[in-house]
Amino acid sequence: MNDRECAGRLIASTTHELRNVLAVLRETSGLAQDLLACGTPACLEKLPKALTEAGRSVDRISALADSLDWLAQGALGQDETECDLGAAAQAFCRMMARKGKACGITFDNMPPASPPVLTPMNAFAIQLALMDVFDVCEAAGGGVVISMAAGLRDKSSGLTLEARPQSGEQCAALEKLAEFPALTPLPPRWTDRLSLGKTIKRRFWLPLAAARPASIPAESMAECKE
Amino acid sequence: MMACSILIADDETDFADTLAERLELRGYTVRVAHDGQAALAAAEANPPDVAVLDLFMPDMSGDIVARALHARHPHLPVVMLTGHACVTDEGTSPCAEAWACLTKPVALKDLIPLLEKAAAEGKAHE
Repeated sequence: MNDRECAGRLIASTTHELRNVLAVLRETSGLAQDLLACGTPACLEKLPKALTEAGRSVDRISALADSLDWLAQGALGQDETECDLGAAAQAFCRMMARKGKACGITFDNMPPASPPVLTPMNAFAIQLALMDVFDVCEAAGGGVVISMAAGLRDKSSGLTLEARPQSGEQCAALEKLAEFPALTPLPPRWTDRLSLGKTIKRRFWLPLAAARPASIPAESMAECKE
Repeated sequence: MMACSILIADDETDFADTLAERLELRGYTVRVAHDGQAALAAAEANPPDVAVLDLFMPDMSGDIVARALHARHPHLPVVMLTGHACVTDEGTSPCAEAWACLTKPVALKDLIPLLEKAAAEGKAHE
């Protein structure tokens, strides 16, 4: 997959999601107008809920705009010296959420790493690497939930990917991820082994930098705890 | 305004529920489904005058729902409402069964006349 195709897919999915959220905003703001025009106590009682939903839509649009900004910054090569890996991965998850929903791939909410894990890699190159992982899941028929966490292994930055079936105990996507050369399988957490007796979560390491850059102080990096 | 019953199927629950509420405020009878299976079940129990379907729903895409509706109720008009572009690069609609395909967001002042026209045409063919 080339850069242009990757950018096109990210933008198409984001545009689809933006249109959906704009439709929610149009209806919720329209409903607020309707309720004000109605003016009865029963109508006015519903007004705060409509306004809250409209506000939530604005937040969703704002988050999508931030993600598009990440894409633009990466494409322009402005982040090459210091890219927040967690934020870049979060942007990918937001942008591909709509496409993922259509093909059975769900991204879990990803809290930002604190302190941020910085990588010398370009933000767009991170999107490309994650798109490859997405393609493996899509080709296997989806049915998978993925969460990501930025961290370090052997002083190199990367993402820990945790994958689990959307339903049932297994899905083909987990097996295909295990065979994907860019990913290194990680042992399951001991808590996962204990809680279910059967491991349905699979964990992988996706390296996203050859080495930790010298310019980034060690105390600003979050060590990946195994 | 003509009396007509509308079935809305969209997995974006806030959108489907709010659109339904606004249409109900204008006197229409509206039912909401949040996935394709529920839409088919609702139409089977009580066929609407017009169905508004999202093109991409997780369990079943809107064009498959439209085909199934068309097979059971040949004169039921389906309006596809989607965040996806309605016209492909080849200039074709992604759903041959649809009476119309609209790209979100659509203003209610544009949607209502279209739904009424679709419902009227559907009733005329029954």
